[in-house]
Parts: sequence; C-alpha cells; structure tokens
Amino acid sequence: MDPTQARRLRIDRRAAGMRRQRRATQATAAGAVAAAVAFGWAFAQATAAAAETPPPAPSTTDAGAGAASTGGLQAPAQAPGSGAGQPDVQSGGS
Amino acid sequence: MSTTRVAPARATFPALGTTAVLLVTDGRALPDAERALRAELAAIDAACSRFRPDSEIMRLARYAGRPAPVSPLLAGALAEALRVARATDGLVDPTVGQAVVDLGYDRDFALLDRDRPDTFPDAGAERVDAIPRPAPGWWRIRLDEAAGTVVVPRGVLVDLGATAKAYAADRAAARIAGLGGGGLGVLVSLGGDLATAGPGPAGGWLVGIGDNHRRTASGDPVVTVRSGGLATSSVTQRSWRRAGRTVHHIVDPRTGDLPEPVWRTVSVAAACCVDANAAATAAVVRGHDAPAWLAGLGLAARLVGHDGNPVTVAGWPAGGSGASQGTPPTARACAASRDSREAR
Repeated sequence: MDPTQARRLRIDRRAAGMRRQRRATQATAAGAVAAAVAFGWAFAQATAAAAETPPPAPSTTDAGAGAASTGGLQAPAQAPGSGAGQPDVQSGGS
Repeated sequence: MSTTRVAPARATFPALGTTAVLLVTDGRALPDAERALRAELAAIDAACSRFRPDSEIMRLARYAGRPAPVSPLLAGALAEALRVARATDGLVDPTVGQAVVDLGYDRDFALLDRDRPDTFPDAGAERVDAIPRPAPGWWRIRLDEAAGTVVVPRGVLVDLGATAKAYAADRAAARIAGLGGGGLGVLVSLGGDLATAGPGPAGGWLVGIGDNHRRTASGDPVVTVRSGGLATSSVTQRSWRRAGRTVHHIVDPRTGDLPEPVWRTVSVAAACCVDANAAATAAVVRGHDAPAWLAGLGLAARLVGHDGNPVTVAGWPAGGSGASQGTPPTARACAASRDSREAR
C-alpha cells in the first residue's frame, strides 16, 4: 500500500467513526424523546383516572425547562464593543 | 457626564508555557487574587500537562484501556474537552495528541524551539509510518464523572492543549471574583485567551486583538469586553520546521495534518473562555465556511485571512469604530465557573 492509500484509509476510518457516533447520538436523543412522551402520556392517564378534577396542565414553559442542555458553544451575554486607547491586555496567538 | 477610567491592578508571570496576566478592579485584592491564580494554574498543570511525565493525564497511559481513576479537576477538564469536541463536530478533538507529536510537538515549546530549530530528516514523506494520522476520535474516551473514572483506549494520546488553559482561566476568574464576598471584577488571560468574572471596570475591559498576545502592533483593533471569555487562535505562533515545511500547533483531527491555510488568526467572544477558544480553533480548522458557522452560533468573531484582510461576524465591531451590532441570546453558566464555585 502506498502512503497516499494508507492516508486515505485512515481518514476514511475516522470519518466512518464520526458517522457512527452521530447516528448513536441521534438514536439516543430520539429514544429519550420517545421515552419522555410515553412517560408523559402514562402519567396523564393515571392522573385523569385518579381525580375527577384534574390538576392544571403544566405550561409549555415548564416542560421546556426540563430539557437537557445541548452542550453547544454559547454566545456571551453581550458582544464585544468598540474600544480605544491603551488596552488592558492583548489577545493573540500564543 | 463622563467617568474617569481607573486602570485595573495587574500581575503578570510565566505559567503553563505561556504568560499569565491577572487584572482586578480593586488593587487591595491583588495579592490574594494572585495566590489563588497561581494555585489554580499549578493544579491544572499537575493534572493536565502533556509535557510532565508525572502529570495525572500522562499517568492514564498506564491503564491502557482499563478504567482509570481521575481527580475531579481532570474529570472536569476532560468533560469540557469532550463537550467542545461534540459541539465542534470533532474539529477540536482531545485525541489529537499523537498527531501533534508526529508533527514534532513532543515537548514544552520553549525546549522544542531550542532543540529542533530546523528540519527533521527522519520524517521522510515516503514512509507510511511518517505520514499524518487522523485523531482516533473523541468518542472513544469513556468518562464517568460520577464514578471518577475514565477509559482511554490503548494507543490514544489525550491532549488537552486546546481546552485546559481556557478551562483554567474560567475556573480561576470565577474563583477570584468570589474572594471577599464578591463585587470584585477579574480578568484572567493565559496566553491571550481570557476569561472575565464579576463587574468589570467602567466601560468594560479593553482588549487588543492581534496575531501575538505578547505585544500590541500598531493598527491592532481594541475592543471592550464586559462579560464571558475571548480567545484568539493563530497559526503565526508556535510554528516550527519539519520535513522541509513550516508546521504549527493547530492540527485538523480529520487528517492529523495542518488545516487548509485559509485563516491566519481568529478571535472569538463567547460565554466563557473554553467556548471562545474552541470556536476560534475550530474556525481555523474549518476554513472557508467558518464565518457562516460562527454567525450561525451567534458567536461574535474576527477572522484574519493569510492575506491580512479581516472578516467580522455576529456583532464583532467592524474596523475600529462603531458600536457592537446586536446582542446574542441568553448566556448559560460556564461549566468551568460552575465547577470552580462547587469546589470552593
């Protein structure tokens, strides 16, 4: 096998691993959603059967608040503004 | 009515193979703040350094695929590295260690510069074992934070170089801001990757943006930062020669080689230094579509091409004038800040 072929093989192997990882992540997320829906439905049935007057339904905000963080990169509360004068500190390559 | 700006108190010292800069808004707090920063950096170095054979992360190799116990500090650093690996679609990958070593970065950079200033004749491009190897993949690391264990497969060299400094800056800034009951404004810069906490000075922290964190060049823009973190990745620093070409420390994990030369220097503002640093490094690797990617995430950024022309996105002030354009949505609590508070 020549170096180019060997390199291509290694790159393809990593790309395949990434694809498998993405599929596993998507499957886990889909499973979690399905489980949440199923538990929510089951809970709603039990509650309806136990009480003549059902409790107030949770608001969509409350339901959304329980969602797991995506763990993505987050923006700052405020973007940088324009400055002038002698900087306090320098940001650059290190 | 204008407010006279009081320059923050400052301490500067070498740490983690670069320069640490500590700024606080109350000079009386500086001695305690410096002690806290030095302690934090010593702990991070002992846990995460790839250049210390006695560091906790280097000892992981002894376990070769078996669960290894990890301290809460290393577990937190690994968790952050895996989080940003996922968030950048693997472009910032902690399993890139062997690829970096293969490019010649196998010791502290100061020693590397002195010992190997020129080519590496043993790295012939025709040898199959000398060609770049992609990173094995971050998903192969199995971290159980609750149990305090990690499984690193045999042959995988973990390198937290892309995240550990930023994680340390976030943790230290949060910890120092809490000294004396709060109210202290803090900026911690490690090699130009900076984290802020607490109320900043009037008008915000003034940050020069350039290729090199050690000096400000004429014409470098200055921005104000009021919260979160800001980091710059540049291919102009930490570069050396190998096999007849100039290489640098930013590696594309997909190939184990240098990324396509599109961006020379990328600066990003984010909710914390870890996110800013990861986004800046990922943008260098990502290449041409980096501005659209950053804009999609709402991350204010300045990208400078190899031709020297800057591109700004997502509210980063264009040129040297004008107010910032828009405010990105809600920031979350930075993980490192949270970890630091929990550790107190």
